[in-house]
Amino acid sequence: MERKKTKKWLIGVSVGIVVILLLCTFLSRSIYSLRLQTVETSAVRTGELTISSRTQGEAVYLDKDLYSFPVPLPVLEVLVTEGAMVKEGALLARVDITECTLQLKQLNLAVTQVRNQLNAEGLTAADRSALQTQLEIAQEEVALYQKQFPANGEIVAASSGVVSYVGGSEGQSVTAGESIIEVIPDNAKQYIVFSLYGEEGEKYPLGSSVNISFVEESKTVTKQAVVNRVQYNVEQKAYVFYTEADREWNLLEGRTVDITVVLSSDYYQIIVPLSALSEGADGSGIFVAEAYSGLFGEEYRVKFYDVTVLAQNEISAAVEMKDTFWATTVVSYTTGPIYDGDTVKVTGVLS
Amino acid sequence: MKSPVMVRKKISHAVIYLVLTLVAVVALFPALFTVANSFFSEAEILKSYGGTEVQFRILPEAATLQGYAEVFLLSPKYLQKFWNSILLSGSIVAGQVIVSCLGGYGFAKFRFPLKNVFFYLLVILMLLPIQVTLVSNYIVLDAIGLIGSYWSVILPGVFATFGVFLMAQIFSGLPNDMLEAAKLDGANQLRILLRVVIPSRKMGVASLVILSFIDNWNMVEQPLVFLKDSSMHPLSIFLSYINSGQLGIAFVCGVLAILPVLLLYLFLKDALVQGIENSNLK
Repeated sequence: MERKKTKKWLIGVSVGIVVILLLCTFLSRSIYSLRLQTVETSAVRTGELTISSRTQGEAVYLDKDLYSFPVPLPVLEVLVTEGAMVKEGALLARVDITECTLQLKQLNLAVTQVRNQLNAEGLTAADRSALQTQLEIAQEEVALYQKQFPANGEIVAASSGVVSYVGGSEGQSVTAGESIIEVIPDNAKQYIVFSLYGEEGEKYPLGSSVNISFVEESKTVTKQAVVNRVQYNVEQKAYVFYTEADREWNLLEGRTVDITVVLSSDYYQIIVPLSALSEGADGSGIFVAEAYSGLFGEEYRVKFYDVTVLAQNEISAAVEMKDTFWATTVVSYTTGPIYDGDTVKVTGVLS
Repeated sequence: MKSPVMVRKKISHAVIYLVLTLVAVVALFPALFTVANSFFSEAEILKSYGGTEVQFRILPEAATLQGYAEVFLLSPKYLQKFWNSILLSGSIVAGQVIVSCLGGYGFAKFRFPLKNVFFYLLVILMLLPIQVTLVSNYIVLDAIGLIGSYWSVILPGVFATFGVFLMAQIFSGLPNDMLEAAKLDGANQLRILLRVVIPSRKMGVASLVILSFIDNWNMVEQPLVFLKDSSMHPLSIFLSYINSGQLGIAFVCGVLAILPVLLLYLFLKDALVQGIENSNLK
C-alpha cells in the first residue's frame, strides 16, 4: 500500500516537473524574443577591402647558367665581359687543365693496369670477379673526373643569353665551386624576391597582388605582378615571396625595388555593438553577425569567431576570419553583453 | 550487563555504518555540491572559484535563483538542449526495448544454426568501446545520408548489443513450460512474447530501460561526431562548452541534467535490483 502511495507520489512529481519544464520552455522563448536587442543598421552590403604592406625587394634570376667546377682551375683567358650578349656554343673562357689532364692520365693508367691483370691467365673465378669490380670502379672514377673540368679547357655557353658575372681574371686561379662565369639565358625568368616577417607575412597568400616601383630615366615606374611562390625561412622567421618580373622592365640583377603587396577581398558590412568590438580589441576575437533563418523568421545570429584585427580606425575595423575578410562597422550606442549563439534583431535588408 | 558478544556486535555495526556513511558522503558530494552551488550568485561563484585559490563552499552567503531564472526563463537554449537529450535518450530507449526483447527472446528460446557463434560475436561487440566503432558507423551513416540528422544517433543506439545480451539472460530463466502452455492455447511466437514472456519479466525490461537511459543520457561522442548543427546537441555536450565565465549556469544545468535520471531511478529502482537478480548476471 505504501509502495503504491510512493509510486503515485513519484508519478505526480514527474508529471509536474515535465509540465513545468514545458511551460518554462515556451515562456523562455517568449521572454527571449522580447529581450532581443534591436540594432540599427544601414543595408548589410558587400564591398571590397584592401590591406597592404610595404617593403623592398631585389631582382634575381633563379635559373642562371653557372660555370663553376669542383676543382680549382687557373684561368688562362676570359673572352667576355659582364653585360655581353652571347650565343649558344660561344667560347666564354679558357682554363688551364694541365694538372687535371695529368690526373686523368693517372686514372686511365690505373684502368689499363686492372684490365691487363684481368686478361692474365690462370685466374680463379673469385679473382676475376674482384678484378672486374675493381675495373668498373676505376672506369667510373675516370668518367666522374672527366666531368669535373671542361674538355680542352674551353668554357662554352650552354645557351644564348647575357653574361651577368665574371668571377675569374687571367692568371688567377678560381677556387673549387666558385663561378668563373654566370650567364642569364634568354629564356630565364626574373623574379623579384622580398621578405615579410612573422604575422605580417602570414596575411598574404599566393596570388596576392604586388606593386613594384622603381626609378627609370628619372621617373618612378610602377608595375604590377602577383605572388608566384612563398617560402618560409625558419631561421629568420620570415616569409620569402617570389614575384615573376617582366624582362622588358630591364631590371638588372640585384636591383633594389620598392614593393607594395596588396590583398583585396569581399567583405560584408554588418553592425556590431561597440561593447562586442572592444572585447576583441586585442585581436583575439570578435562578434560577427550572419544571416540565419531562425524560429522567429529572418534573423541575424551573432557568432564569435577567432579572428585577427588587421586594421582599425575610429569607426571601423577590418578583420580577417580564416580566408575571408570581414569588415565591421561599430555603432556608437550599445546594449547588453552578447554571447556566442545569441541572436540579434537587425532592421535592414541583406542585399 | 551486556555480554561481550553484544558489545562486539554493536562496535562492528558502528564501524560498518561509519565506513558506509563516509563512502556515501564521498559519492554524494559532487551532486550535493552541484545543487548547493546552483543557488550561488555569479559574483559569489567568481569570488569562490575565479581567483587563484579555490574555496569549496556548500552554503551560499546569499542564496539566489538568478541562475535558475537565466536557465529556465530568460534564455531558451538550455531547455532546448534538455529536450534534445530527452528526444535522443527516449527514442533510443524505446527502440532498444523493442529490439532487445525480440533479439533476447530469439537467443534465449530458439535454436538456430551458428547461434553460439552469433552470441559470442554479440558479447565481443558489447565489450568493444564506442570509440572503436565510431569511424565505421560514421562511414555507414554518411553513405546512407543520415549524418547531421537525429537518426544518426538514434539508430546505432537502438541496435546496441548490451540490451540484447541482458534480455537474453533474463528470458533464459523463464520456464519453457509456460511457453508450451501458451503454444497449446494457440498463441503464435509474437503473442507469446507480448502476453507471456514480457509481462512475466517486466522487471528485467524495466532494468534495461533505466540502464539504457542512463547510458544514453550521458553520451557525448556520438552527437559530437554525427550531429553537425550545435543546436541539435544534447545537454551532455553543452555542459562541456560552458566556459568559466558562466559557472553559475553550469551548476544549474547540472541540476537539470540530474533530474530525469533521478526521477527514473526513483521510479524503477526496485525493478533494477530485481531485474539484475533475475538475469543471473551475478
